[in-house]
Amino acid sequence: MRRDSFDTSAFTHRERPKREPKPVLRLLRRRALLAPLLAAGLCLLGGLGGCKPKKADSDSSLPRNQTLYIGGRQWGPPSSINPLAPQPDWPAISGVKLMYETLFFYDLLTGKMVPLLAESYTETPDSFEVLLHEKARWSDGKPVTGEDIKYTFDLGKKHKDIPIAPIWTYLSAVRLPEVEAGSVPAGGHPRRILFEFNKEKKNPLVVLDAFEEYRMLPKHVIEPLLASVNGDMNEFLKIKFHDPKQAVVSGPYRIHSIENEKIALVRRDDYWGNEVLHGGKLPGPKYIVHPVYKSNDHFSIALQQGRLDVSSTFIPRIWLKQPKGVGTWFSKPPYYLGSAIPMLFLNVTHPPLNDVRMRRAMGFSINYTDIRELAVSGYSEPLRPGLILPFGLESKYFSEEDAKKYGTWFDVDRAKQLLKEAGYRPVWNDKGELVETRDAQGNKVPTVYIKSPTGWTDWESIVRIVVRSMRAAGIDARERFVDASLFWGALYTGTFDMIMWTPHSQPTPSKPWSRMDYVMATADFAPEGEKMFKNFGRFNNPKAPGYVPRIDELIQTIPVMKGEELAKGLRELNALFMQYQPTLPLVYRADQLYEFSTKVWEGFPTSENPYAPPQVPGDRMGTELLWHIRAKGTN
Amino acid sequence: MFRGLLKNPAFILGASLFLITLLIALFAPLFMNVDTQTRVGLAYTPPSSEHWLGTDHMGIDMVSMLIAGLRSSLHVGFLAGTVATIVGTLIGVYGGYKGGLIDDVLTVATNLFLVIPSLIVLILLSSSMDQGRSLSLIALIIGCTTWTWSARAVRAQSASLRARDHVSLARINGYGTFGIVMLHILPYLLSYIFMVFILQTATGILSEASISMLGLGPYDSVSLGKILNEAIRNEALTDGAWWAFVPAMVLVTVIAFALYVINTAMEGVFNPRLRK
Repeated sequence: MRRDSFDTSAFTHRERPKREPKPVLRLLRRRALLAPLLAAGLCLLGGLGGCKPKKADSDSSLPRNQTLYIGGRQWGPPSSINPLAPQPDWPAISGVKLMYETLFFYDLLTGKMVPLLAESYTETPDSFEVLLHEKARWSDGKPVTGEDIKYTFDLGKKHKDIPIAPIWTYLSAVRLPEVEAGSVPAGGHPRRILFEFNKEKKNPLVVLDAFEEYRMLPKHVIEPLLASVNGDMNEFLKIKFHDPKQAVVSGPYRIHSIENEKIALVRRDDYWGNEVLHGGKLPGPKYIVHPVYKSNDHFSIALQQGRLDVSSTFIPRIWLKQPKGVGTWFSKPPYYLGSAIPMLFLNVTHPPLNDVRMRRAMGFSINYTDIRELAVSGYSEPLRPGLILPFGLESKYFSEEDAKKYGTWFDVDRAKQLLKEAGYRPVWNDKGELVETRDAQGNKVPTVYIKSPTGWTDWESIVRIVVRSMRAAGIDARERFVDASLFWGALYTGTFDMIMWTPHSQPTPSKPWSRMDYVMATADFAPEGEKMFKNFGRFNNPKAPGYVPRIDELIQTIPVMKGEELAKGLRELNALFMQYQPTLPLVYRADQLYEFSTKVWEGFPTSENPYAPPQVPGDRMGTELLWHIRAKGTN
Repeated sequence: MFRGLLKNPAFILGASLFLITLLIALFAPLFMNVDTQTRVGLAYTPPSSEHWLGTDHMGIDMVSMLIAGLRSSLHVGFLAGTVATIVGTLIGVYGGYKGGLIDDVLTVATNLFLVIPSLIVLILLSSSMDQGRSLSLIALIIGCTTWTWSARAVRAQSASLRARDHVSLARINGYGTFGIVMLHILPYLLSYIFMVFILQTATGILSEASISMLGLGPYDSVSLGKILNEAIRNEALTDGAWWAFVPAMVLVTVIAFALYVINTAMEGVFNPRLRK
């Protein structure tokens, strides 16, 4: 509609042609007539937008039966795959082992470390000694040596802003005993690496996490590149690593092309692991492509249409997609393997959240069944109190007795009783809706807002159910959905009343301790307004009255505990968590959502064929499935 | 004139449709429990004898959601329409009557607002108000971004009336600008302003539906646009849950269509040039 094509003079009474409707009204009417059609069209487009194949993958020249399309790991146009960047693009993001590899995998099904670049490790009271695979090679043919491993870790010692740097809190040195002893075989390379613990902060669990988390880099490539920018890491991080000569890798794939709409990798047929780890087999897909879509429903539609083979996105009501060839780990509820706990972090410095009775009343007020059945489509086991999963590998640490004694569960009457005992009095209107809550002195209790990123549909639904539940119990809570850019700032600086987050969502050997550490750790405690990367709700301030030193003591000592002592320590820490309720666990979910389509590829791991954990190909141990899947119609 | 309206089939059709939606919005809560908070089933339960239009993604009765959404959308439409009509009429009538420099300045200002894409302004304003986005606030924003059409329409009419004899007579008799505008110009434009109001109401309803569908609607209220937005985001379309979006779409379309037909019919009666 051209709004600029109307001349005001044409609207006057005299000049208007006879029997011609007034142009402005005519225009307004056209607008009114077109608008419903536009609204309907927009609605259909909004919903069906993903139905049409996007140019990004429809006109691809890559043969479909040799290309695996994966989704959910890249949400915007790629800019850099620099392996040292804090937030690089796929496939350089944390956990992906397609190009750069880690020393080990972690198998979340068995809880064991699985060899990758390293073939084994031994633990002593003061260190880990890791033995590298002799035949591990970089893509330029040079061997992966102990020097590369030491160099990669040492980078974090020198440059505090790169992802590997935090491990130096727990390490005192990374050494090469063979080099020090002069025992490197002639023509060979050092394969033994000694990781010495920091005696003041001894934490073998975090070091094991590092073996699984941090990708190793080729010293002979990175060192000269860093030297070319005079050792300036900020300058180094500007190098995008799109040039294949820079991206010298040890993994099974290398970059094929990087475009705004998609990132494509191509298989390295000379990958060292084919022979050493997979009996000479090649990975099934020659190409792996990650198309860039903007929302969950686009990935969902692409998966149902077979334009996407594996996805890691929230897809509601997955059972309706099963007839279209979409599968998940379990073919029945809960469909996904739960291993993380989305929760509400409560800022315990804000009234009334500084009152543990209010926090526990909140815990009793929430309808967890509604969250499980409605917000996450039933993709969760029923929630039990505490930070330890009552199923899977963690179940051996879960105490039913403690859960009953200290925990909270959905019980509105109990919530109301707790509020009453604490002196809180809800004020209701004639319709039975909550107007406000008053405290024992009759003062209005501040409304508490729950922050969550806008557009994260499952979290939005969770928050709505929580708000509805709390208000029904007499707690004045409201939802506040914010743009993602505002969300991160609020999370780290503690500028929230309540905020949604999933602590330590990666599958690592340090769970469930790391989840508890994430929720209650007071190391690097910072006041609201300053950044803090754990314990966002500022719980258990060591300098404030009411500090509980036992919590810190347990957080520090559990990582060195074994067997019965470990179980006892975790149980005690979990009981303390339930008593003080610094966060409100809401539901269980998978560390990584995992859906696959069998329209083009088959042989994906499931609970009935669990040869690899439910993870996206290339992500952590999900890399393994690349050697097992085959295009339909091929052997 | 009113009898003429009642003889006009288009008016009867439009008014009936609009009246039905208005009656549903006003009186349905008296006859049934409109509950947009209580879960009554699983997500997207199909229509049944108990829940005529099934449930939404949160397991809430869709009939309740539609009634609440209809009330909200009409609230936004009327408020936005009122704001846009008042602001537009004041600027248009004053500028058209005064003429000269004042008219030029107001016309330039109106044109300036006119070329700013209102939907984009609407989106920017809505997204910047991340705290406490209420229905009334959304309506005010819509009203403040759509008044330009009213201003231009009314200004032209006011300018043509300025030269009429009765206005000159009033001026000779000592009436000031306010008196002339209120007593000798506005009464002649009332039917016209009412028609503008009807269309601005329709625009308000559609604008709310548009921004709510983009996810920028009110936080703590149900509206027809929000129902559509939730249906899209929660994959109602791909899951075949037609009841989650078709009734809301039909309601929005029926209201806008009814208002349009009313306006056309009224113009056919009130405008002597179009009167048969």
